[in-house]
Amino acid sequence: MPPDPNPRHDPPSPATTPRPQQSQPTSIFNVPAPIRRLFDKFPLKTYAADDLPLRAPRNRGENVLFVFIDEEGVRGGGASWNPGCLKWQAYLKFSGIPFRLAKSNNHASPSGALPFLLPPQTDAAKPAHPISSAKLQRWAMDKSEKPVEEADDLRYEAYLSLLDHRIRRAWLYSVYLSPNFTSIAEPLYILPTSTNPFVRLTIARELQYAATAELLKFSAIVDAEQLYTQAEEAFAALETLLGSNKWFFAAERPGLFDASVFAYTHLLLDEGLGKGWVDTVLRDAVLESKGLVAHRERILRAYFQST
Amino acid sequence: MALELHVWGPAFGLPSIDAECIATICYLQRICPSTGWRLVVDAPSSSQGDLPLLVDGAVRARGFASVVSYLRTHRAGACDLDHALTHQQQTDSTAFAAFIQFTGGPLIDLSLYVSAENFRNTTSSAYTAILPWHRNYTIPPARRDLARTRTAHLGLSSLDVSVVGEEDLGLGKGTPGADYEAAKRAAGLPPSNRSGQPPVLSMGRGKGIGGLLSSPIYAARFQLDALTNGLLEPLSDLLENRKYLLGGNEPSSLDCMAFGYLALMFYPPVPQAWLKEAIQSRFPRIQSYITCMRGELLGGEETNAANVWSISTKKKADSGAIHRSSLPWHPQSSPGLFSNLSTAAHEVMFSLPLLSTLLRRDVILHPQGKILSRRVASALPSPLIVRTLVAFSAVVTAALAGLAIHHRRSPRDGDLVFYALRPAIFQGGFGGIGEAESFLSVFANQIARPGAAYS
Repeated sequence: MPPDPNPRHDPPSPATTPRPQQSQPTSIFNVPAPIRRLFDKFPLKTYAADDLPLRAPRNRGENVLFVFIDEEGVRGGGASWNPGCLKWQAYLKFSGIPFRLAKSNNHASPSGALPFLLPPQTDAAKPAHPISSAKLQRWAMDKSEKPVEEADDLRYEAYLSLLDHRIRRAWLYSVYLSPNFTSIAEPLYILPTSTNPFVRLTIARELQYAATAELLKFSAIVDAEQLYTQAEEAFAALETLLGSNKWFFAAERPGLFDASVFAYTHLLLDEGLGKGWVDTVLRDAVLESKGLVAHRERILRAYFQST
Repeated sequence: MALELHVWGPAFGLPSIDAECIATICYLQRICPSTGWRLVVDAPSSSQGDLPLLVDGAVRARGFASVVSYLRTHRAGACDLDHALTHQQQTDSTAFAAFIQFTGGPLIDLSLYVSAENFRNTTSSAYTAILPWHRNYTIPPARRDLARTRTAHLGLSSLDVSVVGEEDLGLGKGTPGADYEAAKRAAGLPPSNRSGQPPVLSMGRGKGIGGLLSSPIYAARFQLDALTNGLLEPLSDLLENRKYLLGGNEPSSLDCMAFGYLALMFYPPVPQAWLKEAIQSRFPRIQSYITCMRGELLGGEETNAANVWSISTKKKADSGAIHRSSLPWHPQSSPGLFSNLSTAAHEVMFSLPLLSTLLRRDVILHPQGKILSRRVASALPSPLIVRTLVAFSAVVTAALAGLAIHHRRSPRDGDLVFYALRPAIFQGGFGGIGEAESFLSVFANQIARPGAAYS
């Protein structure tokens, strides 16, 4: 803009400033002719859109259950090697809800613990909310066409506490603190997470420390013999409870209790788990209970046929 | 050889402050004549293991279940309250014992230990009566911490006073009045009348009744009621209108177990008596069962903590206190001054933050003499490698530190001489005015102070 000859009496008004633009017939967005000629000599190439990363979710229309499992298990629809995950995996199969497995670990979970389920995204704008294992039973009952009715037995809670405490604690000792650690926990939980020996060592120590802390909550000393004795008693009690019935509490179809029992019995009887059981006390206790072995076979045949 | 049962001392008129100890005392009282066993008050530190502990010669059994199974297998059939049960009943007994232990335990933890008001007013004074004075500083806080970790997953830490103290201000949080009061309180001024009122009056402020009910205190109350029902409903259903949980004409080991836990919910005179209120208002069947079992298993007597304390410390020479109690209380073997001192020192060391991690002992008892089917080689670095690495880096660190200290203590004698400043500058050439200037200033310094090149 040229300098104003008389700034005091004639201050520049907004109407006078755009004069140079008005002088041009077209807008400033038009490319000047010489530059346009230059650009016309180069062809404009549009590249195709990149593919999604390999790990991006593909099938957003399916339920995805995130569990501890390896790639082979994901492809073959096998069983998770974590009792907590396997329980819900089996329960969803009993409910007849279709779902896909995904390999995951605790850090991926919103609640900090596996399993969790990601339902299909119905609205593109609204992401689906993951469902933690605590709410999975109610969700499955809502979604299932023929929901599994849980047995209305006053002993249900009592026998469930045998599983959730006695057997679970013996399992914790057996997998993380006994010699099974090198043959079960190490190949399944530690080696896949990292290739660095020091990271592996740290994870191993943390796992063992966490298991010890969990066991020390209920007794000042972790007494292996006592834990094993109580678990053996618990398996014997479950055997008696099952009796000659097909499913627990004489139900028509397997339910959550069957899933909970199966989660432990299947993993204990599975010879191909990790590098195999070395400390076989718990495994022997299940092998002695013929009813529980048959119960596991029944579920395996009916619901995990593809493995 | 007489059986010797070590338990936590009596409290609240009950023979012990611990549920499993009460259960074990009831069981032994029921099956053994009072001359056949001795009851000893003990207070082990956490590294020494749990009570109850049954000592039979060289054999030790810890915990109610172990004591019962030990007595069942090693003593004659008369020493078994469960001999009349069917197989199915025995199985149920195992399941319900686990159920009571793992559902009732957290309730007692919450009521007696986690709830700050109850702990301060009732539980800690009960411990004072049964512990030597110096152990009051370590054992009750340790047991409270344990109870906290056991109930952490329930998310009920709002019962703890340090948390509630902050959160009860949260009712009208965000309003200018509440902020003003909080600031006043922080400054140590007495609150004005309005906020000095009980919290009921602040109900409508900010959130309405929904907000009030979802405030920590009331939300906790709902959750506590749900937990209480979770334990008492199945028990009440199991009991029906019978006298004992498993029917029959005699109490079973399950009755002892249930009484141990229910008594600690019902009898302690706690200020926040939600457990007792729940039993009284909603489960009258359980209430009458508790009173009935107390008469049946303990003869309905109140255990006086002071009497038992005088027996166990042998202060009062056998003055009839033993005869008044139907339980065979005996003095504990006196540990002596040295042992007392070492225990105290031990506990102090273990409660220090850094030392306790360094001195942590192995708390895992592995089964002995078991033959493994095979060995699997670990892919992790072996302990030998790790130890070598740690030792090596420790040696290197120590050497460096020693060198540094040595250098600090005895600095070098004589002058330190720097050479070869000038050739470097000449070789570099005169790249610009700045470089020429710096070169000139070096030159000037040397001219001004001939000794400047030496330090």
